[in-house]
Amino acid sequence: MSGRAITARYRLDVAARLVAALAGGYGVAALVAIAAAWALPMARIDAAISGTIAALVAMPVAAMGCFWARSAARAWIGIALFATLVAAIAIAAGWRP
Amino acid sequence: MKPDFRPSMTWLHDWSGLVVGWLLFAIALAGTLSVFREEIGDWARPEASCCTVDSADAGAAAVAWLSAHAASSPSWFIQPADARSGTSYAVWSDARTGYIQKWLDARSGSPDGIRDTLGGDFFYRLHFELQLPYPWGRILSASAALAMLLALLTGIVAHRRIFVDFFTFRPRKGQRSWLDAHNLLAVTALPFHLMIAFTGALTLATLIMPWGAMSAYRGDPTALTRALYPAAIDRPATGRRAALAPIRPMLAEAERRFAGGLYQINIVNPGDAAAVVTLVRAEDARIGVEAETLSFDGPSGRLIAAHDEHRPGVAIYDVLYGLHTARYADTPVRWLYFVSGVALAAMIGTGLLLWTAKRRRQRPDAAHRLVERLNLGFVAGTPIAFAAFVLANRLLPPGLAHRVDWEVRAVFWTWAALLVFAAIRRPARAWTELLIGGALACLAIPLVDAATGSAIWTMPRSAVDLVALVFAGVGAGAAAFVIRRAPLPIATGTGRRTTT
Amino acid sequence: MMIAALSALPGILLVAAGTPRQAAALSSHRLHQARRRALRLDGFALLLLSLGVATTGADRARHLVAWIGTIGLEAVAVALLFTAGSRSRRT
Repeated sequence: MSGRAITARYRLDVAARLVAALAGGYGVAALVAIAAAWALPMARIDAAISGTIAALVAMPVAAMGCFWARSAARAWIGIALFATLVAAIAIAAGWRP
Repeated sequence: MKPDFRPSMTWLHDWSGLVVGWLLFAIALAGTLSVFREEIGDWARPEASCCTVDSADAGAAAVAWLSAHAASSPSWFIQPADARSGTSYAVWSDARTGYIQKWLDARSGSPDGIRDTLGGDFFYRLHFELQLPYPWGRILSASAALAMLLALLTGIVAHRRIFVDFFTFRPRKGQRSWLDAHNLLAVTALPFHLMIAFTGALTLATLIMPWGAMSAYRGDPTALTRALYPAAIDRPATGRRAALAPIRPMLAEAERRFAGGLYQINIVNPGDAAAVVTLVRAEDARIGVEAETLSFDGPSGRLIAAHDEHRPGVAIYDVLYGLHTARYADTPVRWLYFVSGVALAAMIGTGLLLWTAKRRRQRPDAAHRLVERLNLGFVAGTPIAFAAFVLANRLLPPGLAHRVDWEVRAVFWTWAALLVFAAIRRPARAWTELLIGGALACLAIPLVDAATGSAIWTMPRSAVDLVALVFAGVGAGAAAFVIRRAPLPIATGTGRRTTT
Repeated sequence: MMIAALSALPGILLVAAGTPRQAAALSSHRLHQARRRALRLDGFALLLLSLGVATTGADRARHLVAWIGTIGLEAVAVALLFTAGSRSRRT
């Protein structure tokens, strides 16, 4: 990141990725927890706990993805894609939001 | 932002580390001290009768005292005195204040005569509640734990030659040496750091990530609680009064069935016909919180539920929770946790210092100067603020009203004063002064202990004094280091003492 | 547990000796890459042995935790040892 000028555009880029990482990442993580709780083939409580564990790992991983993406737009697209995919799994397993 | 993985992760590591670094430093230091919270608690309550206690006796005494003094409270939680704690801990709900917590003498079950203090529990609660109202403190510390996890993962990615550099420490090379120290502290204790960060977030998961469980149980928290703790019978009060059956036969039954000792006695609706006594096994036999519980009918003493956790998901959660709280740990493992925790705090501290060092060559603007002052205030100041708590425990009169509040106030006033000091003093000088101040504060602990006549020079109580002396030595060494040779990695100036 | 901790230390020493920078600190002439790899493998073998000794019998989980913590400490000690060694060679 050295050598990049701190322009308004740069700040906007970082801010957009930050929101994607925090809000979007949290949303994806919550959906991961729900999907796992519904879809995993184990007792309900075990699936719920496994989902929660997976969700906590998903958050920092999502943040890393948001800042690795080539642009803030791609970060948001990635978040949206993952959220849709995980939500689809959850709905297929019986979840109704 | 370049699509290169390593530079972007380095950037993320630097910034996530900075944003949460000061808070995490305090949390890490407080958490490290709370590894020995019961030992510190014993040191803080010299009036409590010392030494060999039987958990069953202590538990019975505590129940007797609570029956006399908290009869109208709908729930009691008692952790009887054991090998590590000379006092029993009791917390019960109170209509006026929400809850009351007291430390009870192991033999008499009464808190009278023992000075009112949080002891080691101050550091324990601080590190996950941050002295903020529920639930904000816990949410903040859970977020800090996740941010720490992010910093660890990005740090691993950012570290280009992690195996080649594994044993590398090159002293006297300025910024290079600080980076070597930061890396060495990180990689050698990496399993600990990853574990403590992840399990720390997990212990607060019911607050920050309840969606999976809530969704699976259709938003019914009672059903979820019943699923998690099948032996914790929760039945409503009948309104009919009934005396609690003698607790000793129940404790004896637990001793017979449990593979380990007794950790906690929970009593719901004592004095009511629907009272339930739940006993929770300690973790000396296996790692894992709440792994085995027994529930008894209060008025009759009859066993009504028993549960030994073997469900894979719940058992894993219990083990992970147990790894964080380290209640299972015997003394050598406990010291390993303590040393690793100090390494964690030192890693965070060196990381914060490096943040300013990396940007030293640029024009130090107001933002960088702010970071520098906050580094100084938090890294050098937090240990002094914590020492203030320990000193206040000895210096405040034992019978002082609202003693607990005054001890806590001492910490935060000290902390605030040190942050103001850091804001106005030149960093090069202030580092030396605060490090010396820290060394003196730690040195004062055993001196004040002896001077107030509260000292008990037997192990393990005097371990607190000894550790304080060790920290005083470390602080003095650090101060000498700063004075004599190290160009501290600070943003303004060279850091070298060119003029006095 | 003591045996495990004690046998881990030479294991870590060997692994460190097999690391290029530390190997240079040990001997004046450069160690061959193959020789360094052999040192590392021997070191890891000792560590594996130490882990095996640590986790036998009852209380496996507790001993595993203690072992992980101990080798971390020993790694720091070895790093500082090599630091001191390389400094004395340079002066």
